Parts: sequence; structure tokens; C-alpha cells
Amino acid sequence: MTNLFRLFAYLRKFASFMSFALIFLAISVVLNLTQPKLIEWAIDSGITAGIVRNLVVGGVGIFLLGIVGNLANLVSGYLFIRSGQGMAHELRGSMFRKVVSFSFINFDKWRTGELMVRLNSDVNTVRMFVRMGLFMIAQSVVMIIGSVIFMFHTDVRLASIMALLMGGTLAFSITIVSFLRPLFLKMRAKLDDLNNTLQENLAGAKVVRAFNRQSFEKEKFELKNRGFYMMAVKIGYFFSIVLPFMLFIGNFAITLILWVGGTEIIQNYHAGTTGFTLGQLIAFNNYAMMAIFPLIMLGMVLNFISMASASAERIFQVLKEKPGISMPENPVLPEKIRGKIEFDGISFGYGEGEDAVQDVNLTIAPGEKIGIIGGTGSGKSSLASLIPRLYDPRKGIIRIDGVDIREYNPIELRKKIGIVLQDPILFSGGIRQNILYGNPEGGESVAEWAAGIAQAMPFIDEKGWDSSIGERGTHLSGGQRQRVAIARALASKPAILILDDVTSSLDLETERNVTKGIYEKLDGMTVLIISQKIQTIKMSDRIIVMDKGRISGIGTHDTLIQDNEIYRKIAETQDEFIH
Amino acid sequence: MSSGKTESEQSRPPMKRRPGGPVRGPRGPHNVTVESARDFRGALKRLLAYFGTQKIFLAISGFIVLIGVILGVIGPAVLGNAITNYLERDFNLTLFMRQVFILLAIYVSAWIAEVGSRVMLVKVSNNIIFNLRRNAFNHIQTLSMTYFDKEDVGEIMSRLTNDIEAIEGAVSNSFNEALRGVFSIIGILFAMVMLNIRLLLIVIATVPIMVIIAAIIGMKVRAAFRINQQKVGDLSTRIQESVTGVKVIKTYGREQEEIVGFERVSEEARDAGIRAEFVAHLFSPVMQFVSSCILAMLVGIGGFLVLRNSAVFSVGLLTTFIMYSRNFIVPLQQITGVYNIIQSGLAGAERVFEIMDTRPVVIEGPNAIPFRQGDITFSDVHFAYEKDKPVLKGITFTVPLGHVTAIVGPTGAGKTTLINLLGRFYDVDKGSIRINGTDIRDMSINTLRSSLGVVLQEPFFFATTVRENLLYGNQDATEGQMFEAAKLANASHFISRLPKGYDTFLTERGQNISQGERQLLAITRAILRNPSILILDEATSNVDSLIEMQIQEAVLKLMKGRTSFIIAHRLSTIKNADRILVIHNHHIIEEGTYSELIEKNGFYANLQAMQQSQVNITEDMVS
Ligand SMILES: Nc1ncnc2c1ncn2[C@@H]1O[C@H](COP(=O)(O)OP(=O)(O)O)[C@@H](O)[C@H]1O
Ligand SMILES: Nc1ncnc2c1ncn2[C@@H]1O[C@H](COP(=O)(O)OP(=O)(O)O)[C@@H](O)[C@H]1O
Ligand SMILES: [Mg+2]
Ligand SMILES: [Mg+2]
Repeated sequence: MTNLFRLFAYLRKFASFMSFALIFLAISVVLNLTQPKLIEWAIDSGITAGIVRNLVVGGVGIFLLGIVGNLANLVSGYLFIRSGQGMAHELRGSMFRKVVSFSFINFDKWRTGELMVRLNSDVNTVRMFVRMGLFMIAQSVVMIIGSVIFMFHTDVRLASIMALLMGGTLAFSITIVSFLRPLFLKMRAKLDDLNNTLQENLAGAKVVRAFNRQSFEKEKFELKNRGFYMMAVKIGYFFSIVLPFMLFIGNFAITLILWVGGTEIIQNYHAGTTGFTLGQLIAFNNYAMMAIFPLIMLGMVLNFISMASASAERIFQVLKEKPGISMPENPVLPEKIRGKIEFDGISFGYGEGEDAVQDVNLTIAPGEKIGIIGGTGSGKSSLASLIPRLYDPRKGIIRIDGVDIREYNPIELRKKIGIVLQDPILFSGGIRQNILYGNPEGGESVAEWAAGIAQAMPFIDEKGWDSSIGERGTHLSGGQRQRVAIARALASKPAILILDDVTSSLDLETERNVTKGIYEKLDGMTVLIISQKIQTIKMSDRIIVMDKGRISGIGTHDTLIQDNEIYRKIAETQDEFIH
Repeated sequence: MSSGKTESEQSRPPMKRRPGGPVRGPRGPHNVTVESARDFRGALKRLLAYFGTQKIFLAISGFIVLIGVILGVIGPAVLGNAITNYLERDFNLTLFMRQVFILLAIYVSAWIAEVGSRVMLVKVSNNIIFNLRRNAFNHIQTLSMTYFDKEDVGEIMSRLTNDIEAIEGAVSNSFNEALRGVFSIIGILFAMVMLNIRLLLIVIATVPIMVIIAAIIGMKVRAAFRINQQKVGDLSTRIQESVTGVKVIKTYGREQEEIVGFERVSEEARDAGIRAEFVAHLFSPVMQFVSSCILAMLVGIGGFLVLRNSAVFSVGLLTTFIMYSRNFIVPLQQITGVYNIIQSGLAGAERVFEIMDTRPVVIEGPNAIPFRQGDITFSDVHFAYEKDKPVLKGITFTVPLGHVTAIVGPTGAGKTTLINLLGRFYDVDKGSIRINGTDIRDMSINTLRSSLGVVLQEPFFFATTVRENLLYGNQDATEGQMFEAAKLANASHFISRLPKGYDTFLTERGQNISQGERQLLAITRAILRNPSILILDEATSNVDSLIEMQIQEAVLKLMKGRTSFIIAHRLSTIKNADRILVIHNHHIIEEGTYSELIEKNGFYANLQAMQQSQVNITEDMVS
């Protein structure tokens, strides 16, 4: 419930909309209620009295009431719809901003499928609540209060019975909401499950086919689908009983009133005393009937409330998530980065298990070209990801141009660092758009320059700059994808360039040309190239050899061959390149 | 999606709606969705077919609704009877009490009836949704890679969630409501006929007007919901792409731009939503307005009739009539409201059926033969992903059983494509691929793929434990076999260092281990299948060469007597192959053993030589 109230903070923006919506709604309801009175008047003073003029006035009046009342209805409907959709848009925006602010750590926890459910389906539930639920709540509350007042006015004793019943129903409803909310939460979690499975199945379509596991996938999905189905049916059954029960309570109240009031009337008659009259009973019954309608409505509102409050909770789970990387209070704007990088006693781990990077001390001069090589899982990627603050180290300080990187505005800092992640992801759209992703103003010349260094021109010439490359770049071969990703990093003209083993799918000649271009044509740019091939990093100013999270050696190719055993062993397996 | 998409959306419509854009391959026509799914009646018919055997439940539920309606009519009558007869006249407590109990009994039965019909509907509607979702998903499993080349994951997901939710709304809410409305209207009409035919005509005269209005608005509602569902799909695509690409967004500091782009798509969805909802909302006030007109006419014309001849038209009659016609409006509104929900449901149904109408491209013949190990022959194979952009042209070669074949060539030459064809992820455009003399298109896909162990160039893992991922290709493997395979692939070392060993959970796509480690896992997974044909597509490209050598040896030993394909760039990886195929410019330009190729002094030898010389050049340069 508290989550629902927090939602209203988002509705505040639409407060004026909502109040006008309610006002117009009131107008339309009142005008609608006036209609019978007008008809009554037209019949009485027109037909019965035989005055044609009154008859005409009555007819025209009904017509006018219809126009105005329904216009008001139209406007109020529009305003409700707008508020609901507007709020949905706000919520989506907030969530999206949050997701984009997530650091890599957060993504180790959240899955795409469930984020999608929250941004789509949960927001939708909340929207429905705003559109229908709030309006229904307002209406039923007004009607209940009104009828209760009238009932007390008519007969206190019967009214007390009614009030007791209605109060009981209300309490019952609230209990149900709190009982249902966890059910809805569970159902939504099942939907997460379903969606995660679906998303994974679609993203891994090729693996599913390669391993011929379609029937397994079907079973897996069937299980999730059934899980969701079971929850939905459970909640459905529950409502099947509760909703008509509300109606029954109302009817039961009428019967009860009839019984109590009727018995009294009959007894009074036999005893010859006066008291409760038939007229009062009938009037009372009418009010009681009036109270039934909002009770039914309350039943439906329950549905909305429990659903929306479950969804709201899930939305706020996203909004509450703390980004793993914090923004400094007075961020330094990295104006002109020269590209000096210092690792000062850096240790970093992903939580459980050993640290991926241990006690690294290293200073890289501006414009220096660094090669990094080392065993699988030795922490090369982890080390590289610390420079643009994709993760924060557990211990130690990293400085760029002498400033602790935690003092920079991280977003601006990252714009100065071009890192090509080992698993490069492209976006659907054209090649040009992808290359200019980090520098849309760059234009033709920058794109061509970057594609040139990345050796992407041959296939771009063949395919065209604007040919669509598919979701995640699936219409390209692995090596083509890597080159587009490299060009993308270059096009943003960074001060520091990091290539995390992204020439691995290139043929040797192309790879050689890429590294050559990077080493020769990027004067002044600090470059770190991670690779498994001696050939690629051989011409670096310095080579760093990583082993089990530590730096095992730093030097040039020649010195490392001499005094680093790991480097020498790696080189021996690739000796055809070094004679 | 990215700034890239923002522009591309203007330059081209979203993929699935493009009538023949550049992405579609030559087999496109097969995968094109059947246009007829866009027709409403068709969608409705097919949706109704889903009720299938459940129609009985539906009938029962409808019957109970009828009982409920009747009970609803009887209730007030008994109440009135109790009041007028026993309270007003007889003052007989026993008889009065009896009436009260009858009333209570009626209400209880009405409650039970209502519960009964609702319970059945819950069951029926959820069953339908369950089946729809299952069928759509199962159908997707039969589709080939061309489908995934064309459709965005987010879009497909939106169809299986958002659209199915819309259908659910239609199925679960509309039936009872519609029935109730129909029954009520029939009842009221009946009552009015009994009262006076001529006045009834006034009411009836307006029915065509209502129907026309309903039809016009209905059409608009339909169109609006269609657009709405499309926009919701676009939004979903955008979310999916941004979320999967968020690391790129962050590394480029493009958060702000991405947010702006998202807001735009979200706004479009909002506006489409407002439009659809508002058009649907129109129904109620418009109908109410028409009803006001009827009332105004009844009062005017009816009143005039009463004034002229009060013997035939009494005031009482008119009053009753007015009451009835007011009652008439409520169920009519109910029905039109239902109509709206159905419209939005059908807009969703169309989109779901579009999936089911997509026919798989790679299909199995009726007399498929099981896979038999043997020589593999490519004869004159042609292939293109996109029309007029051939990737392979006239590829012909034979791999004898038990050989290790290396495929080399520049990036983008078509090495992976060759493998894609062998695994029938795509089918050849021309020519044939035979294994043991049988065209693989005549082979059971099941047995073919079961005998392949493929390490794809892009390893993919499921968000589950390491163990389950390894067993993905072979559920029957024992623990011991798994350890053995992991050891062969050099993965056991790093797995044992993971916090929970084989029970460590991998996150989406296996993002929580290093890329090289992912490749080791992928190799383990493939060899654990004990395949007849092993395919390693740049499977060790991110692995250090020490480990790579060991894997190489181990795997080749394991695959002795069986066939393997190795795609790699590092020479050490391919040097020992029985044969090397060199692909360049759509063709196989050379083949032979390493030494043969060097001796031949052709393309491959040149490539090697050039590298050697470059090594020397750079060495000079560095020193
Ligand atoms: N997101 C992550 N969560 C947990 N562990 C990780 C994550 N990424 C990498 N690791 C672990 O950290 C270690 C170093 O990984 P990495 O830096 O990627 O190695 P590499 O040198 O191959 O690039 C590996 O043991 C890997 O399993
Ligand atoms: N799904 C696809 N749709 C369209 N074109 C593709 C697709 N996959 C690959 N291509 C194109 O086909 C050519 C060969 O790709 P591929 O076989 O992956 O090359 P590689 O030899 O590097 O493995 C490339 O030009 C690539 O862009
Ligand atoms: Mg790495
Ligand atoms: Mg490839």
C-alpha cells in the first residue's frame, strides 16, 4: 500500500488534470441524475397538466442535458486517460533513467526479461489503476458515505446494522487486499520467470538449434507458462468467489433489514403499538440498495488495488536500486585529458571468490602504447574495466592525469575513454550510425577515418554505410562486428583507447593492419591493447604480463622473452611468428 | 537501440513491416508472414477455435449466467411480494418469514450461480491464454535462423506478453458481460412488446443509428488499437535493445541521448495509448447521448400522443416505457464496452497469429532418413543471406570420414556461413551438402543436429548453473563424463575456482566469467555431446595459446576416427589439420595440407610470407 501512495508522487504532476477530471465527472453524474427529475417534471407539468409548452421544454431540456452531460463525460474520460498514460510515461522514463544509471554490478543481478516486464506490464497495471481504480474508489466512497448518512437519518437502529455490515465488508476488503498482494507479487514473479525464459530462448536461438534442444526449451517454457497459469487461475478463483460475495452481502443486508424491520412492523401491528413504519422500511431499503452498488464496485477496485500495489512495489524495487558507481559531490570535469594512468595498489574482486585483480601498481605515460597479455581469466578485462570506472576497485586508487578517477564526473570521464569490450555489442541500424554512436556530430570524415584505421572499409564498401546490421549486429560476421566496434571507439576520438582482445576474430593480415594503424596513426593517444597473440602486442612500448590477477612482468618484447617465463612460454607456442 | 536507431527509424520502417527491405534473404518469401492474419474476422475465427473443447464449459457458464439473470429478476419480485402481501395486508409473521427465507435462498443461489459461472470462465480463459502462449512459443521453436535475422527479440516478446495480455482481457471479461447484456435486452424488449408496439418503434428506430455509430467508432477503435499494440511492441524492442546494450551506452557516456531517445518512443506509445483509449471511451458518452435523444423523443412524441388520445396511451404507460428504455441503454452500453475490449484483444490476436503464420524455412522432408556417419561432400554450394549479395559461390569439396579440416580465410569470407549450412541453420540456395551420400535436406534434422557438436563463434549461455549449461547438449551425461570433458577442454581448473564450482550460477549470457573462460565452457559443452562431427568456430580465439595447445591436442585425440572442422586464425591451431580449405572471394581458392599449401606458393603461402616479413619490418621499426 505504501508503494501505492508513493505512486501518487508521480501523479502530482497530473494533479490539476485529475481534479478537473473529477469535476467534469461530477458534472456529468449530476446532470445524469437530474434527467429523471426532468422527465418527471415533463410528465407531471406537461402531459398530466396538458401544457404542450412544458412538454417541449422538457424534451429540449433532456436533449440539452444529454449534450452537456456527455460532453463533460467525454472531457473527464480524456483527462483520466491522459493522466494514466502520462503517469505511465513518467514511470517508464524514471525506470529507464535508473536502468541506464545502473553500473555493471547491478546488471549481474537484474535480467533483461524481468526489467522488460517491469517497464511494460507493471507500468500498465498501474496505469489501469489510475484510469479506472481511482475513479471507482472516489465514486464508491461518495456513494457509501451518502447512503450511510441517509440511512442514519431514516432509522438509527437499522442504519447501525447496515453500517456494521458495510464496515465489516470494508474491513474484509482491506484484509483481502493485503492477502492478495503477495499473491499478485508471486504471479508477477512468475511472469518475470516466463519472460526471462522467453528472452533467453530468443537471444540464444542459435544455440538452442545447434544443440537440438527445442523440445527441452518447450518443456522449460511449458513449466513457466504453467506456473504463471496456476497463479492466475488461483487468483481468478479467488475473485470468482469474492466479487459475487460482495453482491451477496448487499442483498443479505436488504433481507436482514426486511426481516428486522418487517418483524417489527408486524409485531407492532399485532400489539397495536406504533413505531417503525412501512414507508420508512421501503425508503430504507432503497438506500440500502444504493449502497450495494458501491460495494460491488469496491470488489472490482480491490482487484485493481492489489494488482497495482504489487506492481508498484516491483517498480520501486527498480527505482530503489543503488547504482554501484557513485557520482562525486563536486565532480571534476575532465577537460583535456592527456592520458596518464596510475594504478596505485589496486585490488578488485566481483564479490565471492578470489580477487580478479590483486595489488596492481602501474603508471602509464600519456601517449604510451601498452600491450597486455596473460592467461585466460588472469584479470586482463577486469583491470581494463576499472579505468573507465565500470567497476570501482576494492582497494587502491586509480588516477588519470593525477586526479583520482572517483573525483571525475563518470559520464564525462567515459567520453574521454574509448573502451571496446571483449564482447562488443552493436545496435540495430546502419554501420554509419553505429560507428558514430559516441560522436554523432563527427560526420562523414570521422567515420571514414575511424573505419579506415579499423580496416572496416573493404566490407563497408561492399555492404554500404547504411546497410542494416541487425539486432546486436547479427548480420555481420564476427570479425566485421569487431571492426565496427573498434571504429566506433576511434570515432569518439578518445584520449585513452582500450581494446579488450577485439581483434581475435580478424585474420592475421587484417589484425596486423589494425594494430599497425593504431600504433602509428594515433599519436598522443594512450592505448592499451589486450590480446592473446604476441604478434599483436609485440610492437607496444611496454607489454604487461598478467598472471592470476597480478602483474607478473612489465617490459618490451625482448626483455620479457629474456626474463619472464610466462611470456616466453606463450611466445614459444606462437613461435612461427617470431621465427 | 541507439542513436543509430533514431535515425534509421526515419530512413526505414521497422523491420517486420518492411515489404521487402534489404535485410530479407532470398528465402524471405517463405518466412514472410501471411497477410491474412491482418484481417479481423480471421483472427476472431481462429481465436474462437481456441475455445475448442472448452466450448462446453462456456455453454454451461452461459447457462448459469442465464439462471443468474432470471434469479436477478425474481429476487425483486419476491421482495415486492413480501412487502405488498404480507407486510401491507396480511401481517402474517410466518408467511412473511417464509418469504424472507425464500428471498435469502434466491440470493444464495444467485451467489452460487455467479461463482460457478465465473470459476468456469476463469478456467476457460486462462486455458486459452496458456494454450496460445504455448503454441506461439512452440511454433517459434520450429522457425529457422532467418526469422531471428528479421525479427527483434523485443518485438517477439511483446507479442507473447503484451498482446497476449490484451487477448486475456478480451477473453476473460467479455463473455459473461456480453451474455448478460444480450439477455437483459431480450427481456426488456419482450416486456416492451407486451406493453405497446408503437412506442417500441420509437425506441427501435434509434437502434440503426446506434449500430451505425457503433460500427464507425468500432472501426476507429480497431485501427487505434492496432497502432497502439504496434507502438507497445516498438517500446518493448527499444527497452530490450537498450538493456542488452547498456554496457555500450555506459562506456560511451551516452546515457542522456539514450534517455531522450527512449522518451520519444515512450511518448509515441503514450500518445497511441491515449488515442486508442479515448476512441474506445467515446462509445459510452455517445451512446448515452443517443439515449438522451430517445428519451427526449419519447417525452415529446409520446407526450403528444398521450395528449391526443389518452385512452390508448396513458401517462402510466409512457412512464413505464421511459423507465424501460432507460434500462435498455445500460445493457447496450455493456455490450459496446465489451466490443471495445474485444477489439483490443483482436488487435493483439492478429499479432500473435502473425507469429504462428510464419512458416519455417528449414524443414524436414516427409521421408527423412536418420543421420549416418560418413564422408561430407559440398557440391556446387551457393548461398546468400540477402538477395544479390552472394556469400558463397560454387563451393565444392569432400571431407573423408575421420579427417580434421581447417577452414581459413579473411574475416567475412564465409567460414561461419559454411558451418551454418552444414548445421542446417540455413539451407543452401543451390547445390547440395551430402553426408554419407545423403543430402542433408533429406535427413532428419533431429538426428543431424544431435550428431553435431558445435562451438559457435559467439558462445551463449543460459542463466543457470555451470553444470546445467554443460549438460545442455547431453542430458544423459554422467557426472564423471562431465568432469572428463571439462578436463579435456581445460575448463575444470577455472570451474573449481568459481565460488560454488559446478553449481555456480552464470548470469545472463554468462557475463560473470571471462570471455576466454566462456569459450572453454562452450568447448566442454560441445564435446560432452560426444558428437560425430565436431565444429570449432574460432572456439579458442580468446584463450591464451598455452591452454589452446593443450585443448587442441586433447580434442584431436578425442575426435580420432570422427570428423572435425576447425576455423581459426592462429596458425598453431590449424597447422596439424589433415587439410586446410582457404576461402576467399566466395570461393575455395586453395586446399591441401599446410606443407602442400606452402609449397604451392599461392594465396595462403603469400599470406604467411607477408606476415613473416611484416614481423620483421615492425621489429626493425620498434628497435
Ligand atoms: N561479472 C563478473 N562476475 C564475477 N566474476 C567475474 C566477472 N567477470 C569476470 N569474472 C571472473 O574474474 C576473473 C578475471 O576475469 P577477466 O578479467 O575477464 O579475465 P581475462 O584475463 O580473461 O580477461 C575470472 O576468474 C572470471 O571468472
Ligand atoms: N545473418 C546474416 N545476414 C546477412 N548477412 C550475413 C549474416 N551473417 C553473415 N553475413 C554476411 O556474410 C558474410 C560472411 O560471413 P561469415 O560467414 O560470418 O564470415 P566469417 O568467414 O568471418 O565467418 C559477411 O559479409 C557477413 O556480413
Ligand atoms: Mg578478457
Ligand atoms: Mg566467423
